[in-house]
Amino acid sequence: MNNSPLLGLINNIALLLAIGLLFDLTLYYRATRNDGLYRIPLGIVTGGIGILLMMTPWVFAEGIIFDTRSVLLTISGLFFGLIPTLIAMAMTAAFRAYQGGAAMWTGISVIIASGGLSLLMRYRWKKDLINLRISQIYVLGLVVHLVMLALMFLMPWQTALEVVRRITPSVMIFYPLATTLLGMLMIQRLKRVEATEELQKNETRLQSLVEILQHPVGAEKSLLDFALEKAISLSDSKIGFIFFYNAETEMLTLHSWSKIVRDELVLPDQFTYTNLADSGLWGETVRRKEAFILNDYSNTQLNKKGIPLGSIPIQRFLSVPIVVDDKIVGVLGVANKELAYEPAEAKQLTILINTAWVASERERVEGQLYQSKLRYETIITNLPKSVVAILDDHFNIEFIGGSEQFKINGQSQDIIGKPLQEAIDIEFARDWVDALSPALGGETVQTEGEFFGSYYNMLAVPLRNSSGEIKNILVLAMNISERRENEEELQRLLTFAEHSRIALLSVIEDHKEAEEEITRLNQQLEKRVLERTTQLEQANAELEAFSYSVSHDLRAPLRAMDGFSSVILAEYKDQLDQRGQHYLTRIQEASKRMGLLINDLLDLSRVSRTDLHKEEVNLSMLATEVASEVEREFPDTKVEFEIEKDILVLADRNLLQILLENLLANAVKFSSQNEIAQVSLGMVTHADEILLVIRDNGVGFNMEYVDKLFSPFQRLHGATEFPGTGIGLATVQRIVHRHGGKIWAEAQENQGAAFFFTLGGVE
Amino acid sequence: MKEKIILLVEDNPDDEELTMMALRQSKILNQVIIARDGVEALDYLFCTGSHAQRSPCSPPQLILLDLKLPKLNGLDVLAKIRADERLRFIPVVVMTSSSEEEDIILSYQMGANSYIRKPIEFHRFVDAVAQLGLYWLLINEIPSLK
Repeated sequence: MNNSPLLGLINNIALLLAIGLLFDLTLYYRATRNDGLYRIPLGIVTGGIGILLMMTPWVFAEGIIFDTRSVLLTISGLFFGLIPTLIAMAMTAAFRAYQGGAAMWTGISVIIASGGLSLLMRYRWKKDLINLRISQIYVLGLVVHLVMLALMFLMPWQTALEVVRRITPSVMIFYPLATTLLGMLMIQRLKRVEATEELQKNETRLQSLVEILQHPVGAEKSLLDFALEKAISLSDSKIGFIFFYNAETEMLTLHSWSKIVRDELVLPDQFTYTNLADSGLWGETVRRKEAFILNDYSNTQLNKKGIPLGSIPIQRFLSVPIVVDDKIVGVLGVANKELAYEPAEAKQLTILINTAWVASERERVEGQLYQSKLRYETIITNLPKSVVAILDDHFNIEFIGGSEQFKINGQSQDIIGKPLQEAIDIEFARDWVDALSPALGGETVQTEGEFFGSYYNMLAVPLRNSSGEIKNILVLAMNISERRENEEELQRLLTFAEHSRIALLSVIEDHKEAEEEITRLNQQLEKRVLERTTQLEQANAELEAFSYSVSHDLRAPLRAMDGFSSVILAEYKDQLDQRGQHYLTRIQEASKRMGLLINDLLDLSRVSRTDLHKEEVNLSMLATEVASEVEREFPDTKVEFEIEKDILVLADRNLLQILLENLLANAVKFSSQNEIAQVSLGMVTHADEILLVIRDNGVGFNMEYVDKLFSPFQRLHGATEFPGTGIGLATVQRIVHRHGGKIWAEAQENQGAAFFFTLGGVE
Repeated sequence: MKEKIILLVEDNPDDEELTMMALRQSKILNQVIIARDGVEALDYLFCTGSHAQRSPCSPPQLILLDLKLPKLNGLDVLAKIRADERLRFIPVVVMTSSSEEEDIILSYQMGANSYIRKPIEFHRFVDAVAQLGLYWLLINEIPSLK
């Protein structure tokens, strides 16, 4: 080994510089992997370098060796950390113990002191090594080597004094300097790596911005989503969101969560809209009007309301406002970076999201413009029954549309760019040019005319360019042929309707007159009916009074006649001769007959006066009862009745009884000359009508007088032959009529008679 | 026992005489008071007007009442009789020429005890009077009147 102290020093410097390379390697490894395994080989290599340093020592005397292991371990402790430094300390200490000598313990102590002190300072400075000042490293170097000098006194006093005296100048000048220089080298290494990383990040950001700007045309939402994902990856975040903000309503509206959040969480709907005042952490950046960074989430006092991320706990949080024209329009938030968020990141994200916002706005506007253009084109191209054309100031066709454009271009686009005169018939073109010229002067032209075989209403409007000059004419020609036809048709219909109306009016007039006539007649009729009813009621009342009077007053004189003649016959009989007695008897008989006559008349009037109560009556049974009465009435006549069974009729029982009494009594009376009077009652069907018939085998009558049969007081036989009043059949007829029926008789003299009748319904 | 007076209300003198004759022939010799209209009948019964001095004011045993009367008709007289506490149980026999159903119904509704249509033949009239006299004066009982 070379014993020149100078050579040893150079050797030491070279070896110390080697750890700069070692540090580079370490940093590279750390950038690519993060497992900490590099620490062991780093410690071994560092320890190896330390041993090499100790093998090229600066030998002061036998057993007293100096070298720069203190510098190495100081730098290692400061920049490599605990594990590599401990390994290096163990290796160098072991080697020093192997070397032995008088200063062995002193050497080991120096190893422990320099490594330990630098490790202490590493933690004291919180690993913020990149910002260490030169003076700080130099002071550390001084302290470490002052301690080293102090440790010399572990040796025997005389030796120690000698050593310290000899080495102090060089140790206290060179060793701290070397430490400082090596520390500076290491810091430079750190700074270079950081700069490289920053550069890389900047490149990525730039690339993201370019990607955002080049994002394919689509919904603006997808672009903002894309920007959100980029912002998350750029800031090394896990999750993120974009809210829209309306400054007027102070409402935050969710635009989107980052993909991971969307995939993992079912987000409550109510969080889609949030009032700024209630938004807590999420709206903090809006309230501050600047970027907001929270690296200590769990200890913050801010409102954490509305953070639903149960399965994704927030650790760190960064949000920036999206600003357009000094107004906040949205919020970008990212969270859960591994390391602390830096203000520089906030700046980057601000640039990124605002760029994305502008791009998104542009895209939206472009989309709307495109849609609008498409709509207008669709409308114009399909404008029904129309031709739309845009002409330039020389009447060249720039655009043609409308559903009837084929009339001009035959559905080819060839005419675009051609002058009107070439596109259509030259005659028409001249007319058009004449008609449209005023539009170039700024007027709106409206005209009607026949073109292409149809009738058109043509409107021409001047179109101005951005500087206000009239460069184009918009022509809208609407086919109004059909409308004209419709108008003519309508006019015809109106005329027809007017004629109809007039005709109808006269009909209505006639109808009205007719109605008035009818009303008048009706009124007259009603009046007459009323009068007639009154007359009838009066007549009825008179009849009523007459009947009552007859009933009471006509009988009394008869009674007097009969009564007093009876008294004469009884008490004065001996004073009268036969003839006188006979006359008195005649008076009595006459008054008796008159009594019968009055009774019959009252019966007849009663038939008319009483109310009709129709009910179901068993005619057969009633006739049988009446028949037995009649038999008693004619005790001298032998009668055989033959009455059909179960004839049911709808009739007034009392009137029906009077009818049967009369008809049956008549039948018996006029058959009484026969040995046996045969009287029958039955039903016959005649011309679809059921008739009741009462027959006898009596004297009958001459059909010549049939008309008089039912008239009151009419008799076809003498009173002496067959007594009677001539009122019976009149009463019968009246009863039949009151029932709505009819009655007639058929007879031959001495061949019997038959009376047919109905009661307006026979069952 | 008081005399059983018959009140005959009849406006027709012929009928009146015939009735009296019939009563005589039937051997009914009770005193017969004759009223010739409705008002007179009520005057007798209530001892008013021309009968105001009648004493004692006792009711008759039987009233024979015609319906068709001057001034006040028979049905009105009947109604007044039936409305009076003292007279309401006196037998009233309606004797009239009428055979009108309406008269019969109304008479019974007003409380007539009997309705007789005077026959035209005198011998039947005598029969009727004899029977009703026998029945109402001798057979029939009424509550003693105060």
